[in-house]
Amino acid sequence: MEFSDADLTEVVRSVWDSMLGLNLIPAGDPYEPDEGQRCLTGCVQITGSWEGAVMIDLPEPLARDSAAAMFGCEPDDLSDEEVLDALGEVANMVGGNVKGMIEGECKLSLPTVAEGADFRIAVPGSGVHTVLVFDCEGKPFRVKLLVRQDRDSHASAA
Amino acid sequence: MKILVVDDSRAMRMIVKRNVSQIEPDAEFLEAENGAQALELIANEQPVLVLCDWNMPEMNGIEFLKVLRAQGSDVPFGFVTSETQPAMREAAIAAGAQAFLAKPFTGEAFQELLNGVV
Repeated sequence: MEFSDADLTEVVRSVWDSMLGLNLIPAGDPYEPDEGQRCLTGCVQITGSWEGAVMIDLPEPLARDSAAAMFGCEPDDLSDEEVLDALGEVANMVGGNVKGMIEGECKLSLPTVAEGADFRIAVPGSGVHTVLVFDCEGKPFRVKLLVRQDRDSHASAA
Repeated sequence: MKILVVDDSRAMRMIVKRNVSQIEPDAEFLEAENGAQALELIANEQPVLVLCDWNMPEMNGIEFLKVLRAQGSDVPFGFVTSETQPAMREAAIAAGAQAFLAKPFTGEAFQELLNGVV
C-alpha cells in the first residue's frame, strides 16, 4: 500500500490548521533535533489489514506552543502533562486520518508520548515509509509514517 | 443546557467545550475521561447532550453508548472522533448515536454536529 506525500501532508496540515489554528509550510530540508535538545515524540500504531505507525517529532518549545494553541492559553501556563496530552491527541488525529485512508478493518492504538533528549524510538519490524518535514512559525518538526515489513499488506489506499 | 464531554484528552475536551461555547454561550459542562466515568456522571446528573470520543482507555465510546442505550437512556449522543472510516460511522449510528464528527473539524462542521443532536 502506498500513501502519497500529498495526502499525508494534507492530513497533517488540516490538523494543525483546524484544531490548532496554526499554518504549516512543508519544508524541503531534513529535520534532526540538535544534540541535547529536549524533544517530544507522539506515536500511534495501526493494526489490522495494514500495519504501521505514525510518529510526530517536535522540539519541546514547538510542542508547548502547539499545546497552548489547543488549550487556548499561554505556553508557560501549561504543565508538562498538558503538553504531553496535547501531543498525544495530535498524534491520534493524524493517525486516525491515516487509518481512514486504508481499506479493510484496522484498529488505532491509544497514543503514547515520549520526551527527553537524544532518544530514539523504534517500532520493531517496521521501516520508514515516509518522512515529512514542516515549518510551524519558523520551527521545524517531522512526521514519520512507518510500515510493518514482516507481514503482507493487502490493503490499498481508498 | 448541561453537556457531557467525554474524552481522555484534556486538550480535546477544551477544544470541544470552546466550540460549544461559541454556539451556546450559556452551556454548562460535565467532563469525563472515559465511558465508565461518564456512566457514573450520567447516573447523578442529567445532561441534555453527550459529546464523546471513540478511543479511550477503560471503556471506549462505542461501548459506553451501547451500555447507555441498554440502560434505557435516550440522551442525544454525538461522536467527536479521529475514527474516520465509514464503517465506524455506521457502527455509531447503529448503536444509537445521532451524529458523528471526524477530527479535525471546522467550526462550521461543529455547528452542523450540534444541529444534528440538539
